[in-house]
Order: sequence, then structure tokens, then C-alpha cells
Amino acid sequence: MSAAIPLFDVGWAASPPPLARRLADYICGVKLMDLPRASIERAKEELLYHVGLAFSGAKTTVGRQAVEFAYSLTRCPGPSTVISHAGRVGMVEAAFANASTVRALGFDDVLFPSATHAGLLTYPAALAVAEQQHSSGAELLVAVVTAYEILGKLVLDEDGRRAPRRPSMPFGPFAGATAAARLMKLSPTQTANALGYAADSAMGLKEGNEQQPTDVYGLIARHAIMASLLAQAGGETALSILEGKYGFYATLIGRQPDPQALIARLGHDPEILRVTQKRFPGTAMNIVPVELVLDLVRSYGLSASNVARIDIELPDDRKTFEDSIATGPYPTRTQAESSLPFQTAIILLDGHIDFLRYDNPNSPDILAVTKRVHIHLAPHADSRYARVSMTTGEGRSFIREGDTYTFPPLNAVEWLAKDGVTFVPREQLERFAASVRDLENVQDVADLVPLLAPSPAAQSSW
Amino acid sequence: MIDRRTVLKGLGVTLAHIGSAPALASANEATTPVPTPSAPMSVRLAEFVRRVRFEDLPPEVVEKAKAQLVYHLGLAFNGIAMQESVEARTVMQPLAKTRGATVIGEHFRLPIAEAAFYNSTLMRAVWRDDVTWPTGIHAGILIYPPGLGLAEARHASGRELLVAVVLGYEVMCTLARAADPWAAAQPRRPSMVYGGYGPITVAGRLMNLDVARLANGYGYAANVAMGVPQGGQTTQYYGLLCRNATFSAELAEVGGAPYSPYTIEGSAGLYQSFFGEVPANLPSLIASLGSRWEILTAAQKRFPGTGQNTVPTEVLKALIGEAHLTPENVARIDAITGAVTDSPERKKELASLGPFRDWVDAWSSLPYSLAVVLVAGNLDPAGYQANLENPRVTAAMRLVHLHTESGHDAPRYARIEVTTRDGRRLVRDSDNVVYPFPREAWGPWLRQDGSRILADDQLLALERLIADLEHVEDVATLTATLIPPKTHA
Repeated sequence: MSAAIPLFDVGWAASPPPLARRLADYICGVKLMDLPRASIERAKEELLYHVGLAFSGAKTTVGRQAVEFAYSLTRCPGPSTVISHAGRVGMVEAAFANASTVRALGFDDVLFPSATHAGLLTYPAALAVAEQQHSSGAELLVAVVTAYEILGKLVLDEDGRRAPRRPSMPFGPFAGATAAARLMKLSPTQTANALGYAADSAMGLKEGNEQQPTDVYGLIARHAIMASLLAQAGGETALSILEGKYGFYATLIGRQPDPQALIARLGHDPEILRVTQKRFPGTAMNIVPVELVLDLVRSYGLSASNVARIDIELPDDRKTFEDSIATGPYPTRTQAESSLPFQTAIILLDGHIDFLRYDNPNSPDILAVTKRVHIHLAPHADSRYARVSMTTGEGRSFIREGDTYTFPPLNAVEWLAKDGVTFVPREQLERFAASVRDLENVQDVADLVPLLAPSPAAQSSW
Repeated sequence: MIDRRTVLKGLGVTLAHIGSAPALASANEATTPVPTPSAPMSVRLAEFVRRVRFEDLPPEVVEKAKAQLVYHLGLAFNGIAMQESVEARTVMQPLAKTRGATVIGEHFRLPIAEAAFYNSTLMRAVWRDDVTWPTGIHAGILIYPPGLGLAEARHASGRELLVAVVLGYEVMCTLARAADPWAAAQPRRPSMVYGGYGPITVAGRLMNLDVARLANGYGYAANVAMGVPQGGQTTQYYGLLCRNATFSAELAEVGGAPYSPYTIEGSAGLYQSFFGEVPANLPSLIASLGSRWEILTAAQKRFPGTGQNTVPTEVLKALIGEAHLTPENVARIDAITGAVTDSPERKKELASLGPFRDWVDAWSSLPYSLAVVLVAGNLDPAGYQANLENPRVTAAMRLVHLHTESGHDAPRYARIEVTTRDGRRLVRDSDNVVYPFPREAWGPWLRQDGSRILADDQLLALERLIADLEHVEDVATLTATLIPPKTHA
């Protein structure tokens, strides 16, 4: 007996298989050798990036709270590692805790144009499952690259910019579920059902942009793993849960994809190569204009004392993201982080982004500069487009324009050690970084992930 | 794996007009704590939940809370061998703990949220859990599992559990009265929108969360609204919702993430996101909390199929008994229901003539439900499944003509007009069906399937503890009876 129409009982001779099944066929068919070298290297880079973030997040109150909560739930040892913490917990608890620490500072990577937090939605679930499954490094890489690919391609280009919900809310569970399904070696039928469970666990509202909850991503990671576990156990979801008249797209997104086109795009123009890291707090939508501001300030010696007016042109879809263009005062730190005028002001005041400025976003010197920032919204095809014009008190104008920015590669060990040495010896981090750089040859991820946790003896000495 | 069983035989049925339904008419008006009118809705809900005392609950409300607990435990015993439950057990067993919340019928324990998932799945597995009217929420399976787990873990008293459960129904269904998700532009099941409010209310009350934390918990409730209505119900859906909401409540207790206080009425909040507007009657509904006692609207099921078809099916059953109707002497059946706000797709499901792939596929079909009754004279789980391909039933379905009619206030109103081959015209209607579930039925109901899992003395203790729940000092003594003796393992 099943509650939904089983996926495997229906003949598809007369019509194409449902979208979930076609996605599943793709997910199950990806091979490491088929992946571009750039995608593989990017997957390693993003792994290092997010692990570094987890160490940083573990030092925050939010991060510590999530870790302690995971341990309180587990009550007895499990198979999975929580980054920065000795002792092991259950797989879903580890995914929850790691997602929460990765997100704690508001950093993580973002896929464009889908505007989804791909790494945050993928790595915590993938690491927890890979460790539990004793997956190889190659399997982990394939799972991660495939998860980014599915997530990015499922989001119709326009959805990232105009969805009534943040795209990561409805689409988020697909990434972790894809990675988990792949690592659990689910069959295509099971994988399709895992995607169905992921669709059914889509959740989240946009209300309270200014207070984006950090533990939403931990909840999504739990959903994603559960989706694959239930599918593995035989659980079933509706055949057409994605594209059906009352399916995921119709009821949560408000428009339907072209299944044929979506499937045809899989594997082309890899999504993981579209990802953008964050190196400072705030929305990734502001990275391009912030870097343009930094470039202008550094190139021409501009500062709060000599710039009289700043004009920034942005795509008009920013009107639905008011916090990102707010000139203050800022009710919360998070709202300031999201604000391009705020970030512009602190750059003009200090010549760089001083994170301490976020602690006092309404200081008079900052608000005095944000009032000089004038945002202009206009139609642009690229959601990241920005044009920054600074006019000095003498009337000279300096202009920069762009629609993309890529941060220079990380120095892996330094990135991990920045906060990681608080928890584990530097030598351990060096071993981890080296193993990640050679991840396709790692036999068992369960040997790798524990490098991110201190020994119990070391932890007890904190 | 087993098929659904016949249960609750011989309990009888009462057809009643809702206007004279005793429980609804005697709703408590003494409680009605007045929320702060200017506060955000989530704060007002939290204030209400904090204020209600056991003494505020009318006796019939307390009795209903006990009865629904008995009912859902019986369903869990029935559902334990169903495929849906087997799958859930497969997933949960590796997560087993030696400490944690009780798992019905098992020796292992689970974290509270996971136990809520599993126990909810058991209660849902035979698809006869309660539904509230007119709100259409599957409330019991969202409320009792976290209630039992948390009350056990915190050694709450029976009174505390009863209050929490009643409040869970109250908050969830009051919010649901404001807007019907089936009638939305993007229709979905009501539990998909409002379901998170039940577990979080129950949990918040049992955790004794202060107003600020509980209000923040309602931020989680809005954000865990989940589910896609396409193609029937995903297996374990309610269990998953229960799990997520319970986990969120636990997060809210330890501080959690700060949600906007306006997740209910905000410009990107619950109602705006699912309905495109905030209902005008929402403030008055919030102000009415505690005046209606929504738990009294919870309806049990005695046979499979959507609760929307219960009243017309029972009406036809009554006519069959009175007039000795058979497929051979009936020429036409007109089934008239109130002009509900169902989506066109939902109306198609309700009017479906098949063919049906399985009993789930036939779940919403009123013609099928009426035809089985006409052919078999009754409708029980076995009969519901056995007649899917019965040519007499298929032929009888074609006698059925469905209509809607405005002007009926009762949400479950139904009228059946039967025209016989000899020209007689028989008409009967009802606003509601209330299945009696008196205390003397509790024991047989629990034993019917529970005896395969638990010892007789456990079942007897369980029945007595629930009957006297307001005097139980520690709910853990009740949940202990749900663990089978080693000899039953």
C-alpha cells in the first residue's frame, strides 16, 4: 500500500517520464571522469571555504548553541563529526550543527543567477552522509558537483530574482537530497522519490528579511537527509510532484519549467562554476558593487572626506529586497549587513571593510555617509549588474561598472587555520587541506572529516 | 505488511444537526483571555497560550481530549504493521537511543522530534486520524505525538498534557478558520499551511515557554509550513511535519533564531505568501480564542475515505436501512452538499468515477463511497478496498449525481435524494455526523489491535490512566504502558 502513486508502476511508453525521474536518471548517471577538471577543483575549493566558515561560526554564540543542541539531542555517540567539536553525533544532528556553524556569520557561497546558497545547502548534508557511508573522496566530489548542478538548474533563471520566497527556501532541500541520494547509492526510482520528499519539505517565508534565521539551513539539511533515508526505505511520493498541476512549481513558484529544456541543460555550463563566495558579511547581491566601490577608493584615494555624492545603479528587482538598498538607520545588524549604502559608507570611512563596524551600524559617521548614497533602479538582465559613480566635493566623477566578481583563490591552510586553530592543531588542518586537494584519491571520507574535530583530551583542556 | 482492518465495529452512529450539537453549543466563555490588541499576532497567540489554565477548560473539552488520545493510540496500534510504518521504522531504528522518548510498540527510544515523527506515522498509517471541521486539519496526528513525547520527557502532569493538547487544536484551527487553503489560487491541504502551529503550541506549553520564546516559536511554525498537494499525500508527510515542528519548538526553547514577530500578518508572512492577503477576520478570530474550543470540532472516522464524504455516506446508509434500498431497486441518487470552496481539481477528485488504481486513488470519490454502501449495505476498511473492481459498484456509481447548493451554514451539510425504480422519492439530510466514543468503547478500541503489541494489564492501565488523566502526576507513567513487555518483543 502506498499513499502516493508509485513511480515504478507506470509505463512511460506514451509520454516522457516525469521530471523527478529524469532528474534522478541524471543524478545516478554522473561519473567523476565526466566532470570538467574546473568543476572538481571548484568543489574542493568550496569544501575548504565552508569548513573554514564552520570553524569561524563555531566561535559565535549561534554556532555554539547549535552544536550544544545537536549534542543534547544525540544523548549518546553517533557516527558523525561535528566540525570543531570532539565526540560524535548522529548523522542528521551533525548536518544540522555543521550547517548552523557554516551559516553563523552570514557568509557562504551563492549560486547565480539562482541566488541559492548552494554550499550551505550541500556540504553539511554531504559530509555527514559521506562519513556515515564511508564514501570515497571521488564519490563525495561527484555528489557535491551534482547537487550544485541540480539546485542551480531547477531554479528557473527568473525565480531567483522574483520569487515570493527566498530561492533557497523552496529549492534548498533538493541540493542536500541529491548529494545524500548519490552518496547512499540510491536507485533512480529511489532518487526520484528522494527528490519528491525534498519537494514536499520545501518551506520558509520571506517575512523578516532583516532577521534571516541561521538555523533554517540546518533544518533544511535535516530534511534533505531524511528525504533520502525515507526513499531508501521504500517511501514514495507523487509521480509528478515537481511539474504537476498542483506540484512544486505550480504551488510554490508560480510557473512551470520546460522539462525538456531543463534536462537538456544538465551538465552544461556547470553550476558549480557559477558560484560566488562571500568574504565579508551581507548579501552576495552586493559583492559586485562593493568591489567596485573598493576599487574606486583604492584607485583614486577617495574617502568620506572628499566624496560628496555616490550614485549606484542596480537592477530594478532590488525593489523587492529593500534592506539591500536601505540608507539607515538600521534596526538590526543584519539589516546593516544587507545594505549596500552601509557597506559603501564604511569603505569610504576606513578604506576597507572593517568587520567591527557591523557592531555599531548606526554610528553618526556612518549614517552621515549613507545619506550621500543614491540608489537608482533600472531594468538589467543580469541580477548582479552595478554601476558606481562617485563625485567629489570638487565635482570630479569616477565611475566603475560590472556584473561579476571572483575572489582570488583561498590559501587553504591559512583560511582553515584562521579560526580552526582554536579547535584543532594546525598540523591537523594542514593534513585536511592536503587531503582535500587530493580528494579524488581519498579512499574513505570517514578518515578525512574527523580531522576537523579536536581529540576529546584536547577539548577538555579548553 | 497488512491491510487495513475493520475497527470500531458496533459503536454506532448518530446523525445530528450541528445546531444542536451539544459540545459546540456549550463552549466555554469564561476563559477568553484578552490578548494585547496592538501586539503582533504571534505575541497574542503566545499570550493566550500562556494564560489558559486547566480550570478554564469545560468538562466536555477535557473529555474530548482524552477520547482523541485513546482514538489515536488505537490507530497507532492498528497502523504499526502498515508499510508506511515499516519504512519509518527502517529509518528510525538506526537512530535508536537508550534514552529519549517512548516509541509506541517498541523497546528503543528516540529523540523527541524523531519519536514524534514515528508515532505520528503510526497514527496516520491507516488514514483514519481525526479531522477538524470546517478547518480540515489532521490535528490529532500533529498534536498527540509531540505532546506525549514532551510530557514524558519533562515528567509533566496529565493536566498539563490535556491543556497543551487542547491549546494545540485551538491555535491551529483558529488560524485555519481565517482562510481555506483549498480555495486559494494555489490550493493546498490545510495542514500544509497551518500544521506547524499545533506541535509548536503543544510543545511551547509543555516547555513552559515565556511569551517571547513562544511567539518566536510561532515564527518557526510559519516557516515550517510545508507540503505539495500534487498526486495524493506523500507517505510519512504528517510525521515529517510533526518532526520538523517539534524540532523547531526545541530550538525555540534554547533561544533559536530570531524570527520576525510578524510572520503571521506581515507583508511577506504566512497569509500573504499562501493567500495573497491577510484575512480581515483574523484579528477577531484571534480575539475569539478560547470561546469555541476547536477540539470539539475534531471528527473521527469509522470508515475509509475523505472526511468530506462522511456525512452523505452516513445519510445514505440511514436511508438504506429505512427503505431497504439495493442497487436493483434504486434508479438514481442525488447527493447534494453545501457550496464549499473547493478547487476545481478537488471537485473532480470528489466526483471521480474511477477506474481506481488502489484504495488511495478512490479516497476522495463520493460516488464510490455511496456505491459501496449501496451494494454492501455498509462501509468498512475491508469493503472499501475489496470493491474497487466490483462491477456492481461500478454500475452503482453511475446512479450517483452530485450537486452543490448554497444557503447551508453547516460546512458538512449533505442531502441525499434517492429515486427508486418504482417511483418513490426518499430524501434525508444532515448537517453533521458525530460518532459517539463513550468511555465504555475505549477499552475495546485499545485492545482491538493493541493486544497484539501490549499485555492486557498494560492496556488496562493505559485505559485507566487516560480516563483519569487530569489526576496523573507524571505522563511518563502513561507512556511506559506503550512499551511492550519483553515477552511480546
